Amino acid sequence: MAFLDALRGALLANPRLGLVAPALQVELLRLRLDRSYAWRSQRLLQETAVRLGLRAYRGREPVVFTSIMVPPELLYALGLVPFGVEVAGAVTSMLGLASQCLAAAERAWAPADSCSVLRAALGGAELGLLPRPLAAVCTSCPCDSTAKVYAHVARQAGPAPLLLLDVPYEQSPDAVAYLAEQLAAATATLAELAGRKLEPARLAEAVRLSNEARRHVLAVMAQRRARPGLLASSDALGFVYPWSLFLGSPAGVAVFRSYAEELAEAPARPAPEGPRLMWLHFMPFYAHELVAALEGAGAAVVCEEMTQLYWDEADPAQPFVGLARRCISHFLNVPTEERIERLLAVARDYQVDGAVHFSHHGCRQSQGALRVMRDGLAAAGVPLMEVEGDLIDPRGRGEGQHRTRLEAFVETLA
Amino acid sequence: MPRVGWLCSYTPVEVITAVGLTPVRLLGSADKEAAARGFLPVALCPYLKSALGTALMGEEPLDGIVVAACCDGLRRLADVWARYVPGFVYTLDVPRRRDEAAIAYFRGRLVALAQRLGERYGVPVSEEALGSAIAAYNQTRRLLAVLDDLRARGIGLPAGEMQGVWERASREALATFQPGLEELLARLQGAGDRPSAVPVVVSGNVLAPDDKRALSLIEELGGRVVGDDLCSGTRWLAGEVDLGPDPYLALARRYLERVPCARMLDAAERYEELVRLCRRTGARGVIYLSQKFCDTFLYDFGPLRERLQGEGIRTLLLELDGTTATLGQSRTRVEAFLEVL
Repeated sequence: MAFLDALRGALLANPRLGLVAPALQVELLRLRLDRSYAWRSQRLLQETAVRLGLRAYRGREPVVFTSIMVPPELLYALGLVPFGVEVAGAVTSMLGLASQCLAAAERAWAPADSCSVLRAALGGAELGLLPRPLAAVCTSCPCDSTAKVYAHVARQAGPAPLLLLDVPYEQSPDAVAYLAEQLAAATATLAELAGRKLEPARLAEAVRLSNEARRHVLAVMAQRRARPGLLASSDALGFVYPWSLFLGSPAGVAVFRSYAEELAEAPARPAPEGPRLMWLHFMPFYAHELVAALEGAGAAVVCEEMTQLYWDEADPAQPFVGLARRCISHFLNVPTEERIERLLAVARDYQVDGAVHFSHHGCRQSQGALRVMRDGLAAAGVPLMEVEGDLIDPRGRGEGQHRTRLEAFVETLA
Repeated sequence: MPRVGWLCSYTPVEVITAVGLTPVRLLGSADKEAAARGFLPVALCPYLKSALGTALMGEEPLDGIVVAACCDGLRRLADVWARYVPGFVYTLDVPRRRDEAAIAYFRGRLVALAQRLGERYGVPVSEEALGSAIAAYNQTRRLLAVLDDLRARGIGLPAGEMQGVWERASREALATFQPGLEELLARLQGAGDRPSAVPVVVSGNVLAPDDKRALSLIEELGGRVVGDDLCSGTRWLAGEVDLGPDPYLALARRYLERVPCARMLDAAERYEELVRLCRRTGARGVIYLSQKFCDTFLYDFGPLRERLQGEGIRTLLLELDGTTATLGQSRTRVEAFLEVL
């Protein structure tokens, strides 16, 4: 393991596009030998992600950049390889490359106080670290920066065409029809770019696989509701990004099935005695002590907003309509009052006593909702604590201050 | 006549007018921004915060507000407004595309807006009333185009005053605004050229009243603003609405097909428009004025700068937060920029 760690470190010391695939090969080997994973499904998830990354970086198959709310089912139906630009931004942090990428983004005029996850991805493109895409597909939500960054990385890593899916901000039959038409058009454009023909049966099969994966996620949620504290929150959040990359693939079904089965078989654990908390937004992608601080104070994070399923099954016979409904109904694409209603339903399901919101620097859409969410949740008896920080840039994180605030918050709940 | 607030230039003021309401653009005031603290985060558009602060202090009495849900800041402002400011809030969905499907979708949203306002005020919106409102705004558009043309020829008002005219157009009932505008144009037609100076174009998003000082600064330091590409300037009211059999469709088309803002899929078309504007006016540089934390416009600056550089047009970025605190540093930067030009 030490040798593999050193080899990976050497490959990353001077990152270049040609070194990414070998680094991913090393990572695959490392994963097979690593015995530190709490759950075997986690290891399977990592292996699946690394294999997908390898396919993207080997350059033998057409790669499509896709933002987190683009349905990957469309790509699997065409045999294209999805590559998540936001995921790449988060990975820069895990590999210790964030500061290099952020500096490169700044040189390319990316606004210095915007979301660092997207900025790091843009910087990665500037450094030539992203694979060459056939096209980039992104949605207009969850935030304004998404489309701007996708336009930039498509230009820089390609040049490749950008297909923007304009997700309406209202939930109506007109809105679903408008987006469904765009999904169909984008799929046709991708097929044309790849020189492939869209076979309806393949798309229906991708939707069927997606529905199957969804049922496994529902089973996980049921387990976590019945047995609070069964799964660490950071582990659960790790199973969110696969929604944007694996839904619609057999590998995705395998990952989520393994996840559900493993949780169902897991031995019983004592239920947390202290306050139960709900986590809003993500957790930092670097090592941090936020959860440890809460647990040290006697609380337990029992659920997360991000891990809650928000969509219904899609009808394989009408794939674009179902997938459009999914995009539109995302909890980051609704007015905050509706989001509060959904959060309160989660709070009731998991019997939470309070909520913690991680306010990621530069995330306008989430920070802008904070006051309304705080008041809306408090009125229903769910107090909310804000923790400010950056998801990928650990500089100036103020762990001591966070610990003090979180401990005080738990005290008020006890 | 009830006053209804609006903020983004994608708001169809004609629909509001057709219901018999006065559409009032909320411009805010930098000294009221503090009142919005605690409601919206520090790192969010200063213009929106100052508009909210003004309303929270009760200094902008309104019957309600139409919020075009065009960006993260506006969507969150609508949430806060609905909970903490008296009056109704209508959130209008605005597409980011401009193809026929998007135009049809937006048309439906405009019909829904008219129905909602009509129900609230007990005034069913007739297509005739909407046609009259469109015709009235078209007349204002024509008059403002003349003013814009005078500016390009070096005859118009100083930049700060010119911006003031756009502000009044966005806040006053047209019946009171238009006569004053006609009088101003008659006066300017006979005026001589303004002193020669370095011609520049200003581009960017919205200028709040306090941000007008940036325009005055440019002219004080030897520049002359000969054209604009601003949300609170020509992008708002340039180009007439073609009155056809379906006024909602005509409006949807005009709003989506106008020079795009940075939020739109085809934002790069704005760069080409800017190149044409610089050629037409003889501008030697572009001063890019963006509200702080406006991600779409700030992300646009890099590619826009590259495009303009390709044409030999220099650029300067100034981030605005509505306070004079920025002006000391801005003075030095504008001075250096004009020297280079």
